[in-house]
Amino acid sequence: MPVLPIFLYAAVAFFVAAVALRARKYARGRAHLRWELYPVAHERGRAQYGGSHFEVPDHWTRQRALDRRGEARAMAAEIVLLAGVRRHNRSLWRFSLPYHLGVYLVSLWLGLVVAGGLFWPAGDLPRPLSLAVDATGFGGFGLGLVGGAGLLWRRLRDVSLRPYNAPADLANLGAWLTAMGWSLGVHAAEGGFASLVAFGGDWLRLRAVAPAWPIAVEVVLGALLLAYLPLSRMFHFVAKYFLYHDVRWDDAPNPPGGDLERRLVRAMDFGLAWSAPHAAGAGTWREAARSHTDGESS
Amino acid sequence: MSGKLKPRDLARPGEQLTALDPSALPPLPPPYMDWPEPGVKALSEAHRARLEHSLDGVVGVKITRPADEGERDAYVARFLTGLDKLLDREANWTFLQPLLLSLENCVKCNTCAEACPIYESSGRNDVYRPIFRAEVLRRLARRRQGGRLAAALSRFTGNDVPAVWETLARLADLSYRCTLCRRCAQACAMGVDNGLLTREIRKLFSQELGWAPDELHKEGTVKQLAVGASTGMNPQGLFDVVAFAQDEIAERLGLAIEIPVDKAGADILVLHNAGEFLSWPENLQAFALIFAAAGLSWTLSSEIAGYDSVNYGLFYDDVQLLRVGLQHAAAARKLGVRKVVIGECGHAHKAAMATGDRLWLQEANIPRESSFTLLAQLLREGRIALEPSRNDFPVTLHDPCNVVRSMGIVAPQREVIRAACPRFREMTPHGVDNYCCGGGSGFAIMDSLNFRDWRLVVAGRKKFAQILSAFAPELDQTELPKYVCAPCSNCKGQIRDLLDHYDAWARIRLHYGGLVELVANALQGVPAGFLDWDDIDAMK
Repeated sequence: MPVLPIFLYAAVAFFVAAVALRARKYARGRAHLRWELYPVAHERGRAQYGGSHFEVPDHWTRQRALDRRGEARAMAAEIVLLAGVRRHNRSLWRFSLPYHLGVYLVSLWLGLVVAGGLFWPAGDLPRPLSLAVDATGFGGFGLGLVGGAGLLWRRLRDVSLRPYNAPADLANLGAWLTAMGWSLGVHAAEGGFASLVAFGGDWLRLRAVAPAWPIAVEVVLGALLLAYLPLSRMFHFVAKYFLYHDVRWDDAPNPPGGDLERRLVRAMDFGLAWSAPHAAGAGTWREAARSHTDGESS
Repeated sequence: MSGKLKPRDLARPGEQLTALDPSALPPLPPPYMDWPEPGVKALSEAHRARLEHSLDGVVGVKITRPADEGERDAYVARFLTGLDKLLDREANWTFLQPLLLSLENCVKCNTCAEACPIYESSGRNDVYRPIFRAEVLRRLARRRQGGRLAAALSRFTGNDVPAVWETLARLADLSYRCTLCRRCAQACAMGVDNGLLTREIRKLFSQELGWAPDELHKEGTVKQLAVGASTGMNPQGLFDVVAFAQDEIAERLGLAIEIPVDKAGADILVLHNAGEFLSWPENLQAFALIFAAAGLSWTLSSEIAGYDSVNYGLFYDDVQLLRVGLQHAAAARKLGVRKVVIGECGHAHKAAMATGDRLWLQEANIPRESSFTLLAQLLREGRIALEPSRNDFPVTLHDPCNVVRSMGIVAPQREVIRAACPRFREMTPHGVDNYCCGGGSGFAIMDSLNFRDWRLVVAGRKKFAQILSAFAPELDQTELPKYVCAPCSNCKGQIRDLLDHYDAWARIRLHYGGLVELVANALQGVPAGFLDWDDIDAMK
């Protein structure tokens, strides 16, 4: 089998494994102290002004009224429209929105290309699917390039951003722009995506294939980008879930006898390794608490 | 100034990295446009020789300069060990997940800077950008975790901040140039919290090197756990305070009101910030009047920390946060109360109710409620009635960050103040978008050397401008009293100092106080005059 398909399999496998490992790292520390920030989107009737369940008299006796639809709406606005960036940094949003919409469309395009390769291995897609592939592909690459170029220009031009943007940070955008620019050029010249769909069909069926060199370069760039994603700050497509649900919106109460309490009680037996005079020698967190509470249990 | 200083400059050898430029400070609204701002006092030669001040010439943490290279290296080694512990699942179970998420996912867009009142009020000094200190920690951690490879790639990855004495000495002080108001976190679409990262830096220094401002640690949590209150007041002092408050109420209002202490089986334990007892005794009196009018079963506690709701651990140290929190719980358990009600102290709310929700475990898990929620409930249920015409003066409301942005308690205090004050107006912005008073995260009690100058001139500048703007329609009525309601002891202390600094009572009759004082002043069944403007004038 030629090297290219194997390289692509390796990149996909690396991507999946790296995403899983990094997500697992974040997911392991979920029993931490509360540090939410209001508004919390699932506070029914209160999210609009930033209110919380703490506003309810004897709140521990009342069922929390959660607004999962409101939370979904807030998430959709954040993911699709980048509502937070729009509100707090409009000049960035002008470039960030097309860039992200471009990335979303490219992701959708990739799914359609894979589906096309799976069911129409010769690349002769039905007309509606072919149109959808063209629309998402050309639209996605175009939007991504415009937005990405704007973001790169902004980072290079704005003196206040420069000290915080290392070459590696600029390389993130550069990698996307290179991959998207190459794909757009190749497929604009081809007039569509049939050759890539055909390559995808062969690749999915483990057939030895050697595409034309422009497609081969496209695949290599795409595979490198895919493998790089979970190692870079572009991992925020996963991390943002944890940042919002496990920290910013994590207002889950800790009722007596609940699962959260059990996990927190276990954490109290973790070692207290700190060395400052007031913390050293305490043994565990539980013992540290006791050393100043006259035998009261934690 | 913008863009000139880079995170790696923190490691630069030299006497002082930056200084506050009074001419760069943003102007204040009328009538303070031409106020001659003195800036920050220079340190004496003796202090310069002895104490670390190489960040900005301001001393917050009071780090003694090491005697020699060996001592410096030893501190650096301890710092790096502490950094490892900060990233350890057991040593930092309390905040590891939020820390890692904020440390690893910043996209460096700098949106946080525009949300930060300190950065703006400093004349946009680079070192006060929220991302600046976060980035230093981020680069140090990456370099530490990445070993030699990370060091070799540092120019490409940007992880170029070396762990040297200058870095850590300046970083320690820099962690006390942020009030942890978390306005930057709110502006971050990613969810990255530079306030949390600042607190983690403070924690590393405190828990590993023992570096923390004396006001928070030695004179704060340590004293509170030993004596009973961070003010140094022992239990007998509480009984004296209570006796004084009862006498004052009898003398001034002709009412015999009992303030119960250690009443076992009471429904409610009220936890006050002990600073209130000394600086604002009328706050305790107002609570007593309201609770008596409502017929509540309540008590104070004379147990260690049971009469002082503060928990400065929230600002700098998880070990102390746990210890103080559990002392509060122990006091409540001993009395067998149904719930603990937190008085007008913002960080005490957060430490006991939100952050502390996952520290008060098992038998220590006694329900906690905000006094704002309780007051609104008493009004709603008709258990107290008000004559708002007694509060016929302009009033605005300051939102304590810890209660509002960090806990979502926004509406109850507004329900109360609207019922009590016919001339209430909001600040702009307000609620969860509010600006910090500038005294947050312990700053309000940090007064030593020239730190007070910095917190008034820089940290509090935005709030003072907001207050002036809220009263703009009446500022020309210089004899008309105006009231800034700040229902939080630390915020109240900071606003007191701000009004003193700007001579605001004498110039425009600007006064400050809590929420319950306004309620007590309008409370039916209590003679008029709880708020006595002649008395206030005489005290100024």
